[in-house]
Amino acid sequence: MLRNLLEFSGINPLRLRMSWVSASEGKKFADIITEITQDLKSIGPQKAYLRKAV
Amino acid sequence: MIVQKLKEEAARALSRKDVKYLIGYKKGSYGFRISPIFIEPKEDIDKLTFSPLCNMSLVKYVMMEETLPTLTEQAMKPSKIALVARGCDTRALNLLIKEKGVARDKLYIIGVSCTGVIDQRKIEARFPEVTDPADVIEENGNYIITCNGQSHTIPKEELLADLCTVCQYPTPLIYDKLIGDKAASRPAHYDEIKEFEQLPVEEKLAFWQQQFSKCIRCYACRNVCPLCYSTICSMDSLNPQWVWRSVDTSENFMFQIIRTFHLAGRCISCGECERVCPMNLPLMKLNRKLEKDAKELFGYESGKDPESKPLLTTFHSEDPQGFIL
Repeated sequence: MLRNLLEFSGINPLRLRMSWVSASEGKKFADIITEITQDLKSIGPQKAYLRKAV
Repeated sequence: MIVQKLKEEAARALSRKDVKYLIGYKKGSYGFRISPIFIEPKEDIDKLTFSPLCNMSLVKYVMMEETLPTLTEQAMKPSKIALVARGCDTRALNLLIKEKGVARDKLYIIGVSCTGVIDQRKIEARFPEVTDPADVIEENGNYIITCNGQSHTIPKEELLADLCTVCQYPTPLIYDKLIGDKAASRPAHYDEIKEFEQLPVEEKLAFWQQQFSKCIRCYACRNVCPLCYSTICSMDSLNPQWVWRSVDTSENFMFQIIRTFHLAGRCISCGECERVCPMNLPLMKLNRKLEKDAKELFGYESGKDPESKPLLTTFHSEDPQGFIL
């Protein structure tokens, strides 16, 4: 539901991801991180809603 | 007459030994305003009223009731609060009882069958100059408005609050006494939400950025919401500080997303947040989106059934799991 809400409010849903990875599934973990990194690289940084630096 | 019956029931409720006071509506001091009224036993109930102008929810006042510190003190005082509740209010009460936010035996609910209430903004746009308290009665699908010594007849649909046009539960779901006949429920639809969902992400982002930049973080939406009753709100927390206190689009966005998500599967669509917003943010658009999801994905409607468990605390193996990648 949060994913849907974020998409509804204009955030690319690729930015949020949830997976179950057990401690013994090192390969799966690596794959998921690689995938999400690629996804994020392909859509670039989120420029909107940047918190102002203090 | 509903008002006459309401007064009779109110008098009966106040004559009970276990009722400490009654919360109802009275005419406001000017124009089309309505105020809450708190009547203690033996006080005059003449001011009590109910009209299509009663567009505020009184449930919040029940939640703000102070609990006495010791059990002995609690036992000494009469415990029940009598409350005038419309359909949507009883949905909120249903949910609160389920969440143990309020105990059912602390309430004496006078349910009023509601045929829809008037949107304050719409009627004030129509009659901007009214200063004396005005009267509104509903008759055959029209509102008869008496203000400044003149009477106007206006079709109901022109002034009805938007949420009332999709209200499925206008008749109170739980009550001790019901006033009025069962009101016809209207078909629910989410057309405007579906329409907005179709827009590309960039357009949605632009729309919400523009909206959230208006928010002044007065927290009126949080304070009025009958279901926001945490004693420690994540917005006020300083350690950890989830959201900065500065009014800034990014912080406003964070606040609104947290507020909406805390109402996921809970919002009962009373529309209070949108009604009190001084900046006219379309907050119900976010809430209704989650309501639609809860209905479509999990077949769940909040506050409908006091027996069912809260949506986000339950898990079924057949729940949709598209979010797990």
